[in-house]
Formats: sequence, C-alpha cells, structure tokens
Amino acid sequence: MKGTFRTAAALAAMVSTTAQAAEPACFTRAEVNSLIAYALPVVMDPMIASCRPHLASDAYLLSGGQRISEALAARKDAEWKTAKSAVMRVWGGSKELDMPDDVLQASLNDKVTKEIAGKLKASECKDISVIAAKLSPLSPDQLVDLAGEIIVVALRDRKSKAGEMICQAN
Amino acid sequence: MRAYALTLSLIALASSQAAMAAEAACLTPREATAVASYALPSVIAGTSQRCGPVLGKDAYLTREGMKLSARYGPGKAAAWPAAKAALLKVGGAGDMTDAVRKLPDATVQPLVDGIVTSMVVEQMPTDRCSPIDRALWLLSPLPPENTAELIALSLGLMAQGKNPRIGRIAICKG
Repeated sequence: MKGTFRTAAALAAMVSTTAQAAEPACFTRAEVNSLIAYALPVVMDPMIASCRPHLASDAYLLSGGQRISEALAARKDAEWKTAKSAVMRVWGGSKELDMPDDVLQASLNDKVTKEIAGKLKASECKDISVIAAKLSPLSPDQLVDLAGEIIVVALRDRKSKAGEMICQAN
Repeated sequence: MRAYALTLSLIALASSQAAMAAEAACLTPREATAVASYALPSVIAGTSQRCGPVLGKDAYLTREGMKLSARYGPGKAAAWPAAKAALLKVGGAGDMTDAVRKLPDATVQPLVDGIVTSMVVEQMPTDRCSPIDRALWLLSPLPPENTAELIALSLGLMAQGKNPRIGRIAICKG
C-alpha cells in the first residue's frame, strides 16, 4: 500500500500544483480506483522482484501476487487514461506531463522501481506476502475497491491537502 | 443481575479500577485479536441494528448483516479462552475481576455478547454507517478466519508504531 502511495506521489511530483482546475479539484471514488488499478501493477512488479530473494519459492506474493499484477496490467491503458485525466484536472498540467503517454509511463515505472528496488526488508516482504494471501479470495476488482475505500475513508475527512483531494461526495 | 454488573464493569471498563487498569495494562496483538475475533459477530449484529434504519433496505448491512454475523459465529468458541483471559487482564486485579473470573463461561458469554451489541447500538455514530457498510460488503467474500488473521496482522503492524492503542486499551509495543 505504501508503494501505491509512492506511485501516486511520483505522478504528483510530475505535475504543477499551481494550475487552477475548472472542474472540481478532487478525485471521485471511480478515479481513486483507477489510480490504484494503474498503480498496483506498477508497484507490485518491482516489489515482487525485490522480495523474491527473501521469500520461499511457494510464497503467495510470487505466484498469486504476480497473477493480480498481470490481471490489472491487462487493462492498464484504460485505467491510465482515467487516472491521468483525473490527475491533470486535480493537480493541473505541467511540462513533465506534456509528453507521449508511453514515455511518461516508462518514466513513472522507472521512478517507482528505483524507489522500491532493494529497499524492502525480509520481514516486510513476509508481511506483504501473508496479507496478499489472506486477501486472495478477493478478485482484482474487489481488491482495488477495498484499497480505494481505505484510502477514501482515511483521507476524506482530514483537514489537509490530501483530504481536500478526495471529493466529499465519495 | 450481579453478574451483569460485574461483567459490565469488566468489559466496558466502567469502574475506575478497570479504567485505571486499562491505562496500565496492554494487550499483545494476539490477545487483542482474540478479543476482536470473539466480539466480531456481536459488533456486526449491533452495527446492523444501529445502521439498518439509517442506511435503508438496500444497504448490505440491512440485507445481509445478521447473516454475516452468523457466519462469524463459529469462530467465537475457539477465540473465547484467550479473549476471556485478555478481558480479565484489562480488568486488572481486584474483587470485581476475581468475581467475574469465577463465573461459569455459560453465564459470562451471553452477557459479554449483549453488552458488546448494546454498546455498538447505543454509541456508534451513525455517520460511520455508510463507510462501515461498504467496508463489510467489500470484505464479505473473505472467509472469517482470513479476516481474523488480517486483524492480527494489522494489530501486529500497529504494535510497531508510536503509542499503539484501540480506544483506551493499549496494544503492547512489538
């Protein structure tokens, strides 16, 4: 989950916060879910690579985690479109975003991979794998919905910039 | 009635003795998980009663809340011994706790269940009904034992933080 925030933060770092948005400057629940659905595989792939040396070969993260990542990655183009347009609307545009999507996505992947690679401890990998295993009866969509719900509830009522970014109607 | 009063003092920490003990004692993540696992069916039932009228007939809790509570019921028996020990620990040393300790489980359990349910029904803010309804709906595909283990993992992670506590009850630092 921390990694997902890192991805969102990396995306945020690419945009200016000064531009004024014409539409409501907050993320709807559907947009939060798109951000998560896009970010999860971006985070999970380097996470799995980073954790592989610390985990037993039959650890859930290495098999089930990979399946979830692949299932979400299969629809990343659609999620990217929604996520990027929401980020542009809420945080405004910037030079860094003004580039072809494939270049921007590669840059984002690169930043997240550098952020995660080699930084996870064995105990953290074990915890992540066990949590993923316990959540495994959920489909990828249900997992995204659950993560979205946690983020919306955790941030919505905060008196902070993060809280203001979540639409109250969620 | 005496048993009810004694149990109330233990569980709700209504007496100053219990409140002071709660400040002093901490529960390990394992102990807190046992309490949560035992109390979950009553908490779900209480939440359904509290939130049903607020959420309306189409809400998950209104339609499925009592069924979900019943689905979590079978885990209570296994969780009870550790939950009881944890609750007595929070109750601290004293005559009241000793008296509750001596009561048969068949007397204490229904009282604990009733107290937990009525506490939720009476005290849960209704503005939390909607997010709780969604969260329970999202978690409903999970087998109860997975939910219990996720609670244990969350408490274990919480125990590594600064001053971990749930309400007045401290979680022992990991």
